Amino acid sequence: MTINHVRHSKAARDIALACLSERLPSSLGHPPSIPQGSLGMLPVYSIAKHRLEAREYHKSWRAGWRYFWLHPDRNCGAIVNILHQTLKSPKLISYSFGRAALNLNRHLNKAVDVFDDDGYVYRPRLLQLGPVRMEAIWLNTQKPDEPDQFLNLHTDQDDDAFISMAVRRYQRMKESAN
Amino acid sequence: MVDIPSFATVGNFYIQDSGRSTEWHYVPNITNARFEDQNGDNICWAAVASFITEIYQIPTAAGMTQDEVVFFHLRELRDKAARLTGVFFNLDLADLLYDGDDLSDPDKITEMQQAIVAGNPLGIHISWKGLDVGHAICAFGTGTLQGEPAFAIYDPNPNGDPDNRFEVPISALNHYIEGVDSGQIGHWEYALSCRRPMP
Repeated sequence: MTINHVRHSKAARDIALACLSERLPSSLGHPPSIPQGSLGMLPVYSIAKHRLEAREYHKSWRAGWRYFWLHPDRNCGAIVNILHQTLKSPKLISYSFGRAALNLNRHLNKAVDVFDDDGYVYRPRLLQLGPVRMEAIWLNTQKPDEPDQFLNLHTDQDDDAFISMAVRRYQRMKESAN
Repeated sequence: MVDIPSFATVGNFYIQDSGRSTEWHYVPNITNARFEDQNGDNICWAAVASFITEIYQIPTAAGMTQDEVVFFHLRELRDKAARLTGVFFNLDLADLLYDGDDLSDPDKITEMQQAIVAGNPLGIHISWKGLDVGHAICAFGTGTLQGEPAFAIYDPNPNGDPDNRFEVPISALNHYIEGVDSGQIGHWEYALSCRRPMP
């Protein structure tokens, strides 16, 4: 296995579990048999526009954690986003129920299919570019001479196409604002 | 069902009703609403306005498409940013404006929640410090999350989420999404409580 296991934050996980306990029964419509489901997590990172353009991925920062739960039988799931705050406790950002967790998991499985045996050692992350509203599964190699990999959560683009698209969107956004 | 890859697996989660879930209220006509993606990079404002004209049943603008909102507001079809204040003014929708300080005022939060319970959606403008851009979203429901007042949000461009809707603690709208540099997080700049235009 060349994709390292995600590292936990107990405080973030406790928030996610409490939120799921509160909202999932309602989202599922209180079924008579209460199911269990699989729980996953990806650390969320962000990066400044100029660092992204320069491909200086080591200048990114931890933005939070994304927990996701998959229903064992139905094509649905839930997502809980937690914000990382320096010198403060993690904070619940959002809860959603629907297809997003399946979409995220589909891309994670694609990452395994494509990159798991390519000889590099990756740290799995989710790259979030807030102002241009783009997100990707990010496999980070930790070494500048080894290629990081990106799988766009929205378009199925991968590799450098995600970064190029983000740079173009930043540019179009600036032109639009002017 | 597809398994979660082992590197991202945290374990199983056994669903137990915590008993903390509270009642949520939504504006009318939400059941059949189209939670559409925005049609361009910069027209989140048109998606939000279109969503509101659909669920709000405005006699003069019922069910306007995003393109119709863009043409109505800009007088041309163009993928161009705009602020909700101007769009709502043109549609004669805006009633009360809440700025960032109102997020720390419990009375104002209660007022916003009561407006939604009464059937009036809330258009919200998120902005990023250091960037001359923002993002439009819409609160169409309200309840609580982990004991905090919360909104059900329509976001026309949540990348990677095909459903375009979330539940968000209201206090988290000051941390809505990470921004251009560390600590520069997308935050609530203002919100507009809708009212029906006069006939």
